Amino acid sequence: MRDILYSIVGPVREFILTRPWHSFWGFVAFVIILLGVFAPIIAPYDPLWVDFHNFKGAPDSDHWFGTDNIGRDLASRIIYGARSSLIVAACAVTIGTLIGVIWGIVSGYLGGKVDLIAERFVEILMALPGLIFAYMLVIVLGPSMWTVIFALSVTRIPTVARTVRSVVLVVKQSMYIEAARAIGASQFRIMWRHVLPQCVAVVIVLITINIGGIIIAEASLSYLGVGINPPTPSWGKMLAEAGEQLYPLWWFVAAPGVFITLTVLAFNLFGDGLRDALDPRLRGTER
Amino acid sequence: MKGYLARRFLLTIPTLFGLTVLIFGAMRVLPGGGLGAFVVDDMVSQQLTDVQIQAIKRELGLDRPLYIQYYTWMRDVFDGSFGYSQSRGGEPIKDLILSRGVISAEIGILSVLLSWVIGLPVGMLSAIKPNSIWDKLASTTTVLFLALPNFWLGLLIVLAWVVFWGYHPPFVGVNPWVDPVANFKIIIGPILVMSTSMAAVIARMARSSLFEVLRQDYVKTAKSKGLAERVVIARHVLPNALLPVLTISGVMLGFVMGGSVAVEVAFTTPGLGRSIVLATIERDMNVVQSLVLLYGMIFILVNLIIDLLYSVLDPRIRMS
Repeated sequence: MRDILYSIVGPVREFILTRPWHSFWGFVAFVIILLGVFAPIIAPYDPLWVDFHNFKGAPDSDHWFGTDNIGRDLASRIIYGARSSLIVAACAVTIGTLIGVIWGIVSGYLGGKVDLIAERFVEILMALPGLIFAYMLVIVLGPSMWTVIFALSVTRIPTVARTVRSVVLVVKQSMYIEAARAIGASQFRIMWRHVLPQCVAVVIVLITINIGGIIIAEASLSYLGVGINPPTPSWGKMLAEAGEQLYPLWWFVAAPGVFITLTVLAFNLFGDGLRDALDPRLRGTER
Repeated sequence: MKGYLARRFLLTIPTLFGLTVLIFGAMRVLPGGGLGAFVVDDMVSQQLTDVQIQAIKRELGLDRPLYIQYYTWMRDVFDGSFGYSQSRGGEPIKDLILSRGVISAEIGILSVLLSWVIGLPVGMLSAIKPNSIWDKLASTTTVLFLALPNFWLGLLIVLAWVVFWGYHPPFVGVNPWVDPVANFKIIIGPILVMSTSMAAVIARMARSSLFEVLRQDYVKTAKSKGLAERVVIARHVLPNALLPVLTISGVMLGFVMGGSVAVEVAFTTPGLGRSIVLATIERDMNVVQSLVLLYGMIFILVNLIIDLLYSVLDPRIRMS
């Protein structure tokens, strides 16, 4: 147990000391995660509670970010919105990465016909612009949090698979893989014990870089009216409601956008730092 | 070279075929039977009975065997009509594409051009003078614009326009050859929003790519020969550094086309992206499936062109 603790504390301390700027944004991301997790404790109001005396109220000491068109507290809705955003991002990133990694390792390691077919599938999945693909999947399945998660994880699979595959193709050439094969290790054992560990750094980087993209994609889907079902608060939906106003009020538009930007910024910058620390070769790769 | 081109060209055929199967399959086979949003989305239709659902399916032609539905769709795509709109009384989708596609195409092409015009110089400046004040300013702005959801930026611009200049959202599209001024008013907002976020990607990519090339031995050789800095950059650095930037433009186009849907909605632009959203609300499945296919086809085509350009520009690929 102590060994595990030491193996975590050491690198984290080094990361904070050598990259204070990226660590700061890692801290911001952590605070936003806390905001989402403890939303019921932190939020000043119930996000669905309607203040009948205060429709479209400007920000004041009672309602920090104002109230929306039917008198719900925007600050509370933002805090609960963090929850929706982060749940979607966490689930979609996990599922998409998991499938992508398996896909990439199997396709890259086995090679041959398996690789050829797997690569064609990746190409087809990549042939549609991600957001349009996700939009189509959600309208077919019916909008809900789980369909959004499903759609966004599917759109992440091809890029993850491709990146992992390119790593596997290099790893495959190493001596120790050949050695493992020579002593008669099974294909599965080689992939699990020898190839997978080599992909961990790339996968961690892919995860942090993808989170920002998924948060924006989720907000876009909700904005287009096919995201998380109302009345569950979601940042994208709040912006959609703001856009429906004949005369949009600035506090409807400001807060959700600022929070989307802040969250994405935090995860992106933390991810950049992580990328440089873990794998300098990936410098310059984009989301 | 010829072998490579032929191979690259032929491989797009299974991809295109797979794309049509993917779209068709997703719209029919997934649970919800292609009616997901078309039934659940509407408050009233949540209590639809089985009989009513069957009636809707018959009306949309979903009760026919799958292979006939697929055949009909492919026939319509190949004869150029792209199928027929259900909500617009059987109007060919081709007409919708022609009338609304012009504005979306203008926005797409001009934003890509503008993003190169803004992004390249910024990236070059950063790479040539790394860690200068300009570099820091550029990378901060870049990181910020990568995190801004572009439809939000659109909403902010619309808000500012409404408040300060009494802006009216456009209701109908105007083609540039009919009334250039009215057309410009419609496309300028989306172009500004889309090109800034793309310029951020271009600047970032150009910086890292140039930075890499500037450290190469042949650049040092050129400099030690006594060539002027300007000549070294123009003749030796740029041609090599721009290739990855070209590739990333193709990948980015996917983000652009996806993002343009939300941006068009934010600006209420009468373009194709907003047509997909409107068609969803009107339960016009034919329009949704054909427009999604169109976006996929354009994406594949542009990436094919970029790959071909790449092989023409890069002698290493040209020779092999």
